[in-house]
Amino acid sequence: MENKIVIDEKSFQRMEKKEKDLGTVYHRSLWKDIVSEIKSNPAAILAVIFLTIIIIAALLAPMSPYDPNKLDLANKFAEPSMQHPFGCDEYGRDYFTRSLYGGRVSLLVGFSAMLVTVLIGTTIGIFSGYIGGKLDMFLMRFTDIFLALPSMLLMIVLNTILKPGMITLILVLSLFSWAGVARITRAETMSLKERDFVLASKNLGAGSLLVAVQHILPNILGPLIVAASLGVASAILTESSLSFLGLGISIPNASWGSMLQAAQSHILDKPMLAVYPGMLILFTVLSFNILGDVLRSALEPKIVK
Amino acid sequence: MNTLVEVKDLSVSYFTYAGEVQSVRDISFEIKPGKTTALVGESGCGKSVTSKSLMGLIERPGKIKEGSKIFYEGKNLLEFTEKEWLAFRGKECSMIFQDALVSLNPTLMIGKQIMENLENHNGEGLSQAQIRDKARQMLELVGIPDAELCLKKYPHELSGGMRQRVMIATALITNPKLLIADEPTTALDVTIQAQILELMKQLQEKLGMAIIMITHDLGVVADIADEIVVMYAGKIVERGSNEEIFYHPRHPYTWALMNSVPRLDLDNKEELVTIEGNIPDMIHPPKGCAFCSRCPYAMNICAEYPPEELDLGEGHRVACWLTDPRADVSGIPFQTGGAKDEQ
Amino acid sequence: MNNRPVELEVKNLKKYYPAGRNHTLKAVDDVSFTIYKGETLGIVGESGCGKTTCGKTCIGMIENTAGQVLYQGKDVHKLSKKERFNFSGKVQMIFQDPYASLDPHQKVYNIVAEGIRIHKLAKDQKEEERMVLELLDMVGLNAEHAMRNVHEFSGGQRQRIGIARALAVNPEFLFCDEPISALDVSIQAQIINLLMRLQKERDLTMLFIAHDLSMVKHISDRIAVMYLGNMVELSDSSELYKNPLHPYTEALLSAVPVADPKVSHQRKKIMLKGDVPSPIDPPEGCRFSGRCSKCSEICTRVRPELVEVEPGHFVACHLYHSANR
Repeated sequence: MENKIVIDEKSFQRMEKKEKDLGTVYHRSLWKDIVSEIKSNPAAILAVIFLTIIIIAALLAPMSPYDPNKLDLANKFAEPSMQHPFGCDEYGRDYFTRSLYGGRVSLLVGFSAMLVTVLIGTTIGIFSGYIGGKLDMFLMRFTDIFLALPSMLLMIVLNTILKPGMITLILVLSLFSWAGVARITRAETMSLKERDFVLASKNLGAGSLLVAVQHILPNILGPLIVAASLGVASAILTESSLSFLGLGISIPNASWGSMLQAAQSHILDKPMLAVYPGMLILFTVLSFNILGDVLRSALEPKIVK
Repeated sequence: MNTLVEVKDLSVSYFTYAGEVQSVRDISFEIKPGKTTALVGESGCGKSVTSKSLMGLIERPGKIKEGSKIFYEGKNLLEFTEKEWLAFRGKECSMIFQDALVSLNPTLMIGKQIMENLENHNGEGLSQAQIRDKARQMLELVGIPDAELCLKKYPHELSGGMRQRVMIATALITNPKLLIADEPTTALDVTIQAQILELMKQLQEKLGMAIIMITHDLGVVADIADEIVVMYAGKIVERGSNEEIFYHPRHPYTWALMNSVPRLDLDNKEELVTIEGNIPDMIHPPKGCAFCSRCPYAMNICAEYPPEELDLGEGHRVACWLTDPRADVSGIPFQTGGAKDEQ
Repeated sequence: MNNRPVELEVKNLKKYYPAGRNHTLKAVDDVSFTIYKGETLGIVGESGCGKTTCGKTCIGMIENTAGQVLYQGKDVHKLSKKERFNFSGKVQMIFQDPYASLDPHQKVYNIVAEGIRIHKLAKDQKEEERMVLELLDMVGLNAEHAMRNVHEFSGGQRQRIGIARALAVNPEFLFCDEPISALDVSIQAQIINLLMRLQKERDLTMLFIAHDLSMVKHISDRIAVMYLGNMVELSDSSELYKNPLHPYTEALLSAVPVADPKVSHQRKKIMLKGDVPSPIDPPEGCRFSGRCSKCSEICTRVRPELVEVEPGHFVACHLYHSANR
């Protein structure tokens, strides 16, 4: 079905050529990749929604009318109601508010630990991978030691020895997770440094520092983001475990782990006291893990021909 | 029958995240039995997609559009059931690829892979021993020394040229009427390429199959092809016999392609003829002639309406507005016909 | 050609790699040649011949096992840090894979400006901008492309960016490692034209490595043919085609497809038997002896030297040595 061809006197004249054709542009950005990958995965959408809610809620925790630590024995073990959506614990403290404050702690510790981990791990990893040789061997054996240590036990020991508090907690958590990040960044660096564009840069006379910062670092962001997301999940879980054992955040401050611990003794008659913090830990960690997975598949190299 | 395969109004699109990529747009051509047809074009022109359509290998997100027809000995392939495809692929029509190392199973012995093809299409009910014997014969036919020994080897133990020969043996053991070769020599060294091309010509004489040769190397085309189909941006711009296309190209793209390749036997150091610009966007293909934006002789009508295919006789067809008697043909170096060295 | 000064001199260059216990991969085995200022030398050969290794060793990217490479008189493998820095401003490289040779996260502007910044060739930001735009214009791109990201460009355009990057430091010598192999035919022509034009305008000396003999003949003044780590023939491009002396060169030339059906069907084809052998533990004597139709007894024992048998035409083959003796 051809459209009727309309011919006028100009039809067969030579065409006026515009500027040279630039060629097609398919805009692909990191962000767009991630967003489209999330949109196609229902679990990912839920994870993102949940994390957004939790983060906002944690930030807004101080807006709660209740003091999370103030005793109010009149409300001991109150049932969930309009004033107390999660009810109250054995000291009459609003459980919902405590959950929010606990969330603040977990998220803060989680993100901070992740940041320190990534900082240390990336620096050592790039350094080791780029320079190679004996330094690489030495650093990697050093890293191996940290990977082989029984982290949980040592964290318990360290937490008992050192002054308790959030800073200690963050440092201890980072101490046992930087090694994994170092390994990943070292592997990426080693494969990147043989790539043509790195050789081209060196050929132009670029020094090692310039190459590392300008060329290697931006190109390992992908696996790094994935590791970071999974790192937050792992940190939150570990922090909760330590707090559960009484070695993390000290009472009376709320932490999901310590709330779980306190709920242990009432598990038979007041099971919900354990369920609320437990579910929060579960969903937060799960969401970060899902996010990490989604990021990993979003950042896989896709070829556009 | 004079025509082995007749492709009519074939359109294939890939539905990607960025949109619908119209890889092949409404093309029609024929394959004659026992002859070699070359599909020539650059990346993105749709030649590989066309060959995959012939084998029924278009998968999501690709889709062959409604109205497309591919007739093989009178039957429409696109209406085949899966069972009919299985009987067709490997028996009537076989395919060999560019990289033999990737196409052969690295964990299976060569002999097993060749035999597998015949076992799948064992219409004559041959025994295992007979199949094995045939596999050995095929290896000898494709020029592999120590064929018996080779049956027990693994792909990585052979060189690139040998692997390509094994692929050819695997494809031809069922004596297909059509062999599709998708850039079979692009990854090979030039002396090995010469051997493989020579082998393919000999085998065609012996076995009589038609060959569809997909390539972008004009030298290979000149050597092996009887018929040439030139594709650009999903459309066929020109087709005809080997000599017609090389010596009397009528389409600006064909002409530019012929002249952008430096000649080993000629001594001129002038600038090569280039085709300025880039391949157009196949998600929003141009509404007129596909080559319009890069054509140095484009006219206003070229941007508006796609040209109709004109039959110049002897199977030479071209789709270009310059063939219209009203077209302004001043300054065009090829309308009079003849390659550069004849002028 | 001989009255121009010597730019690059290669003397008995060897590059060996260990290949397992008691095995050696002799990628480059005693190669000597000279490149004069302003000329383009093309090196051709098939896989395993060592041309890429040879080229990369010549510009100091790879360490040499033995022999010397002198650039403007200085040994490229014995440069001090400062000399190495100056060297990087004089000798530049174009890479083969346009998709791997550009940092996928950089903008085009920064890629081209990198060399300018490292060598401090611009007084201020404005001059740097001017230089970058000028370079882009020279390779056929324009200002609009400068702020785009690299992954938006096609293979041919990326090669242009790579060329602009290399030329940003004003080099005198350009090493092209198969710069067009990964490109479409019509784009190859664009890049070849560009390189030839730039060479003329800037009086560059070029070392051009490729396996496409037609392209190499078009762009090179002289061509060297390598086989399994040895240089077997070296002469003017047109002379090489008209009068190939080495049997391998003859076979190679006859195997190159010609885009002309009549010529293609009429010419004599020399078919080599067998495959290209491996450069691991190569045989004694002439490397080509196993596949050569004119092989004689001495060829399996003694490796022929690269000798000038006609003015400007070198060949390493016993057929011509005995004639000369």
